Amino acid sequence: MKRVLVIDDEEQIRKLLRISLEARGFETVEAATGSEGLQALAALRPDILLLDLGLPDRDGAAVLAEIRDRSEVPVIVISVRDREADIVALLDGGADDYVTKPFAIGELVARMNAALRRRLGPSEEPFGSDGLLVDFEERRVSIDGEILKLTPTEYAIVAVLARAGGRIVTKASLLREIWGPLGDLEQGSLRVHLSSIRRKMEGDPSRRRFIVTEPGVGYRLRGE
Amino acid sequence: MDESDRLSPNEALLRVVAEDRPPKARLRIFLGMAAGVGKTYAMLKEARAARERGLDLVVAWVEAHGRQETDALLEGLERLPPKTAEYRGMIVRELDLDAVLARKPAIAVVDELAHSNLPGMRHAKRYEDLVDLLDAGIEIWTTVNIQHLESMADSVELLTFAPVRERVPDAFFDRADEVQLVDLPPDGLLLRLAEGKVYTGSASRDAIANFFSKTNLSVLREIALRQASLFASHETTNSIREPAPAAQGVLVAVGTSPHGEELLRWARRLAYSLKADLECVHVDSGERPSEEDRSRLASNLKLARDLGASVSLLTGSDVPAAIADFARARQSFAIVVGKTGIASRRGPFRGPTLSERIISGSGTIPVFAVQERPLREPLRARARRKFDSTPAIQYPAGLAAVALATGLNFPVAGHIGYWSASIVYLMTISFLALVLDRRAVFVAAFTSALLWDFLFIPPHYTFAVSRPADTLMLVLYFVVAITTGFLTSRLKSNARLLAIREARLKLLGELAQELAGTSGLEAILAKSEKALKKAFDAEATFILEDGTGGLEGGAWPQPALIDEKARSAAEWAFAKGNPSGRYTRTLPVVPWHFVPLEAPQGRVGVLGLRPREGRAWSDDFEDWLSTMSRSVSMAIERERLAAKAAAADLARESERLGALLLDSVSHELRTPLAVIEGAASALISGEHEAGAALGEKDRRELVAEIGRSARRLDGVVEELLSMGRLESGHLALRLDDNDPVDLAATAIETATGEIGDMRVEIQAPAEVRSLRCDEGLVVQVLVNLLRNCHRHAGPDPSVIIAIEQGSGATGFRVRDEGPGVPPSELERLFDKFYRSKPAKAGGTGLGLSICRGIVVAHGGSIVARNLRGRGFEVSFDLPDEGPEPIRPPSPIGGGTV
Repeated sequence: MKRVLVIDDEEQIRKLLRISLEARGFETVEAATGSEGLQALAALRPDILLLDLGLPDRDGAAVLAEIRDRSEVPVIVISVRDREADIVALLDGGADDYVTKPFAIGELVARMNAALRRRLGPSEEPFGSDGLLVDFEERRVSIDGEILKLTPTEYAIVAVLARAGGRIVTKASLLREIWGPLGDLEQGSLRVHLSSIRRKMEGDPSRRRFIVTEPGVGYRLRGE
Repeated sequence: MDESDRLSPNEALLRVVAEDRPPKARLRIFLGMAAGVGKTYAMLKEARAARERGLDLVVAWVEAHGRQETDALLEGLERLPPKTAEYRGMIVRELDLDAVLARKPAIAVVDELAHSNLPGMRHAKRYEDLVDLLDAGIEIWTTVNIQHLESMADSVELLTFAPVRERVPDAFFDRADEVQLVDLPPDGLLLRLAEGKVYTGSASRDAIANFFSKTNLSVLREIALRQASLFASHETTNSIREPAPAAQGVLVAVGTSPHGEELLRWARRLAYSLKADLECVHVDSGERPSEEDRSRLASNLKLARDLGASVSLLTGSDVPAAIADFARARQSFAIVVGKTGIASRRGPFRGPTLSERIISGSGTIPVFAVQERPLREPLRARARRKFDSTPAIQYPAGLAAVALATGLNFPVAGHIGYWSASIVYLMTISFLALVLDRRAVFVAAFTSALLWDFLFIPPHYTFAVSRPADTLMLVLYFVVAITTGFLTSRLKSNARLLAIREARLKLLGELAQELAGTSGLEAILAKSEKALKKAFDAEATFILEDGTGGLEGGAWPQPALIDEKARSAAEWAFAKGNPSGRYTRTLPVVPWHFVPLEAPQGRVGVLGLRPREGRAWSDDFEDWLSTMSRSVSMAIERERLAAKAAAADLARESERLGALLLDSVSHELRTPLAVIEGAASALISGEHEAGAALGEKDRRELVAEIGRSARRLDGVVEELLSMGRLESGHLALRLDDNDPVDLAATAIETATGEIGDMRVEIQAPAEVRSLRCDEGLVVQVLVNLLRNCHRHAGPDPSVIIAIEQGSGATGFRVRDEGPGVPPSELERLFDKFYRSKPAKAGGTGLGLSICRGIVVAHGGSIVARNLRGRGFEVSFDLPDEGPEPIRPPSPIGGGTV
């Protein structure tokens, strides 16, 4: 059974998470402040952490930095909407994913599973979801069994998103993974490549199946 | 806005009236016939009694003169320390006006009403200090001797041969509620004097002996008794009688004559005993007065005011007619004029004097012609003074012209005859009358007649005239020359009057016109300053009301010009509504002349003028200044009212928005809350109560309803927050290159939860340029538009997002096939909280106004239109390169990149 540490100052949110996560087979422990959360992290060694940004005692980014100093535990940030800049900073600062309040429990659990999976180590298992199959060994992408003709860069982009396994990938980290430290200069290329990938993967632009844009944050593959 | 904060206009008016008029303070005067009768003693005794009755009484000033009785009385009374000032090396004490105002007792005792203050005090005279105190609602007790009363001063001077320097205007005396005569028979006073109980200051023994003679004292006592009884009779009639009818005053005509003061005092006594109002009139006949005449006129008019008269200035070349007309118009009870007056002609053929002409022209109104005392000034000096008013250069100028004509006449008379010489002279005189004053014309005419007789009329070189026809000619010539000269000069003086008046009217007209076309306080003040400078050859300054009934801290245009003293003069003028500073009795040491700026709805400030050093001031100027300042006041008030109206409009608009907000938001928040509450309670009771059991399908339905309501609530909150961010101006755009098609697709994806399976098609050209914008915000615009389509386009709508790229801009057109909106509503669609009438339930009315805010922040534009046939389209265009990099901060966002 996976142990979840919920750091949130709102009693009602904690209660909601406790009930719904325990119903789905998680064990939950709770903390109401950042410092309590850090103590709980050391004492209870959770498998995954849900971190609310509006904590009364300290800034969420500072809490995340302290967490990352001691542990590689997956962290999913819970925030209100329209804080995209903060979210991007947190994702680049080591958070694994985020959900915005209000959220649906199903979606949260999917994100948690994706994050937990990543912690098992970089998977060379093929990624499959809704007809999409990414085979890392063969460096091949297929939809409904049909192999797509992708350029090496296009493949690399899809592979990064697939390895994240449904977790969000910020634009900045995507750029760095593909083009290295100077990746920031390639924003235009990324946009062009993505358009091309989408043309090849998605039929109707108004009904996208695979690559989801999180406005202002980054991209993710639709999970299974 | 809180209702209770606002006053109805009526309440406001009542409040203003109440504030403007504090309950009228009482004035009590202890009147004596001379120094030493015990006025101060009597007053202080009463003061003690009042104090014992518990009244809040302070002694603000008392002249004890070291008398023991007085000192004893002062014990136990509250005294205010005097103000000390240095004057020519001496330490002098004066009444501390500000201290009394600050202490604000119910009753202030101030000795010596007739006292003159040192230069540099706020007022020149103590009675003026007392007016301030009375205005502040403080009851005043004071003392005065009968000879200091303005209207009595002349009689007293005549009787006692002692000059009376310190005078108190009768108008102040009239204000008294109670005049208490402190009487002592002359013998008693003489006894006290002999015992050394009377303080006589530094006056010489002889003067004292002269003044305090038994005869003098008896007469003074009689005057004092008469005055007191007169006052008593006024008091009783005042309390019984209705207010006197406005007409039926005594009209006194004054000019530049040195007799004016005497005349005024006489008229005042007449008016007082008749219980009639005193009106004073001066007629400006257009003659150029000398500097001396002008100052005498000013002092006469000032005296008239001090005596409580209303002063009217008339213009007209026919003085008696103007006075008589005025008297008829006012239905005056009587006209008072000086007996001697100015005759219309002098010499053996003396015409009727002014008084005679007024008598003949006044119809049924009685005329009192007052015999003036003989002038101390020798007549010749007076005559010279009269002539002095004609510039000296005019006499030689006139004579030179006559000499020139004489030179011309030698050949003329030689050839044509000596009669024609008279025509040349006549022409010369007529011409001179156009440019010279009357007296110079008279001298020239007289000289020319003599020259004609002497040089041209035979026998030559004698004044003798041989033929009777020549005698007739000479007389006729003289008459015609003088008549022509005088008629022309009268025309000229009328013309001069007209010209002055016209020039003023023109200036005033120009000012009014300019002010009417000017908006903005600064511009109004600048134009007014220019006009005043031109009209008065003086610097002008303005200090405006600060909106709370006081004066603003700064002066316009140069605050530094107004020092502390000038400022206190300005404040006095503002508080009292009377002129102050230079040319007035209030702080005359200040170089500025301040007048209040009176507008229909109250004082809007003060106007200060600083004329050149040594420039004389006249009533005429004051009149003229008040006319001009009225124009300025009106313009300032108009400006202020406009500003107020704009503020009120703004307040009304925000009130309207506030009401709309409450209306739409409370509905939008409450509906989903009601659903959640209802569904949750139904689920709970379904668990626990028998009979309320729900089927699995119903339960699922209720739970789904809770979810939908929660999302709807979230949407409302989201919109309010977006609006808040847009309005607060803290919206920072995070600009990035974006694929427009991707933006549209993302919007569809994001909106899926709300629009369900509404069909949305993206139409775009094969090649699309990137667009520099804030991805999240542009997606939000599209989501809002899609949501609107879902709400308003009818069942099962089909929506198209068309992307068009023109030069440098990308356009998004969101079209549906719905009914659209009535054309009259198109413009208002983007207004906050506006909801189209046939709208399906739901929506805060903020969606489109948020869209506009975001688009505008990007430097783009958004419009809505009905499509031909059926359908509705909202389209917005954004510049490909994003908003201009440097933009002034606007209320809606500002680029940070």
